[in-house]
Parts: sequence; structure tokens; C-alpha cells
Amino acid sequence: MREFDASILMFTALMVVATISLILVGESRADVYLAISILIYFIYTFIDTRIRNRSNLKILDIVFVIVFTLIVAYRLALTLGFI
Amino acid sequence: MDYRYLVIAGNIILFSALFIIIGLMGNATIIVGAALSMLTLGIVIFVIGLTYTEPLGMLYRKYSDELNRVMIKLLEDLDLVGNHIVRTCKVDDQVFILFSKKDLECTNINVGIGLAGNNAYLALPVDELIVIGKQEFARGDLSEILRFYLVTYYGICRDVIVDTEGNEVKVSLIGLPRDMIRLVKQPINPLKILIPALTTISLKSDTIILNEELLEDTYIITLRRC
Repeated sequence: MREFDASILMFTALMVVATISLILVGESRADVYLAISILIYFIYTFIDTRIRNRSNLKILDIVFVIVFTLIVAYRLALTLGFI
Repeated sequence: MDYRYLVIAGNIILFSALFIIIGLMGNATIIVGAALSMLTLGIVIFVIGLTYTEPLGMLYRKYSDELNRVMIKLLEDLDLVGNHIVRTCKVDDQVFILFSKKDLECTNINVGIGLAGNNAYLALPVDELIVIGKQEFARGDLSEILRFYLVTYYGICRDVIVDTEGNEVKVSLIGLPRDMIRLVKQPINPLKILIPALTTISLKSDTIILNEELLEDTYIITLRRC
């Protein structure tokens, strides 16, 4: 197996484990799943640099940062009672 | 680009989208959440597959760009930019590409920069580009040889069409990839060197470039046998 394939496989495994864990703890907020996935993406791709070295993830980074910010803003607005 | 990842990502995106719809219809937010996670995974793998470059691809691209800048500077210094003649020379077993202002005889040419009479020239050896299968040249016609190298071996186009009319040979390369199109726009490009060299070896005669043009993803080069 190529090293790059192993990186992708590890990333997939992390995502699956995180999703199953959230299901097992009974998390019912859909945005939490999305936020955790985005966090795993950033943490994993910055630790295992092989993925970033061989592909261009700049646009995806920007999109994910925007989505993550929107989720946080939404949760913050809920907590502060704006929504 | 890596199609394997695109196929995998396509499947993940399709199934997660299906589960999002099922979750929304049944008001099951856990299913929607899990499907969103998988959708994220699918999108990431899709982008990776779409933008994947081979390990050394990036380095070679930058390296080639840097070398090309040096070559262009050399051509400028030799006053060969613009109206220069590009031809191949086969001397003994060695083939080289010759850039010069006038059509020079190949007998007094040495590899590198030099002067033939009052004419400056630049001669590039190309043996390494075509060394892989010199035995292949013993059989097969020009179009077979070009297809073997350009489509099968180097994978730089989808198909090759060769039209021969008298001493003129017109080679059309169909379906060039984006990176190749970028390279073809440069004054010294791999196709300008590779195709005449292969033609010279195949036809056992020196060739001179008459014209080259790029039409979208099709590159057409016209050569004349000397």
C-alpha cells in the first residue's frame, strides 16, 4: 500500500470512529457532527503533511473555516438567546 | 488527478446525501449528523483526488520552469528568439536538436553553444528522451512509434495522427493534459524536441520544424525531411 493511501485510510478511520462515538453518546445535534468532522480534518491534515504536500486543499480550507465559523456563531447566538 | 479517489468520494457523497434526505424526512437528526460527517469525508477525498499530484510532479514542474528560463535567456543572448530554425541532427548514433538563425550543416555541430561560421547555435542532446526503446524503431511505422512513446510510454496525449505528404510530415497530438498545454506555450517545449527527434530516428533522416500550433487541447507540428 502506498503511504498516501495509508494516510487517507487513517483519516477515514478517524472520521468513522468520531462519528460512531458521537452516535453512541446520543448526540442529536447535526451541526456538532459537522463541526467535529471539520476539526478532525484540520488536525489530521496538519499533523500528517503527506496529504497537504500532494494535493491542494486551500479552497476546501476556506470553505470549512466559513462553515465552522457559522456553526460556532449559530451555537453562540443560541446560548446568548439571540435565536 | 487520481480517479480512484474520485470514484470512492463519489460513492461516499452519494450515499451520505441519500442518508441526509432519509434523516430529514424521518426527522432523525442523528442520521443527518452522521451523514453530514460522511459527506465531509467524501468532499475531502474528492478534493484530494481532484488536486492530487504525483510525489515528484511539483518539483519537476518548478525545476523545468527554472531551466526553461535559463534556456530562454540563452536563446536571447544568442539572438535566436523569434525567427530561429529548429532542426534535428543525427550524427552517428547521436541525435540532437539544433536552434540556429540559418539552416546549418550538421557535420560541424557540437552539443552545447557554438559558432558555425558566423552563425551562433544551440544544440541540445536528446538521446535520453528516446533511449528506452531504440530496438522498437527497427519495426513499425512513424505513427506506431509516436503512439508508443507519446500515448503509451509518456502518456502526454490521447491519440496521435500522422499525415505524410511528400517530404512534409504533419503530426497532430489530440487531448493534451492541462500541464502539457502550459508547457507547450513556452519557446522550448518538450514536444518541440521529442517529436522531431522521434521522427528523425524513425525516418532515418534529419527533420526541420516548419510550423507548430496549439488549438485548444490539440498540438499540431509540421516537419520537413532534410
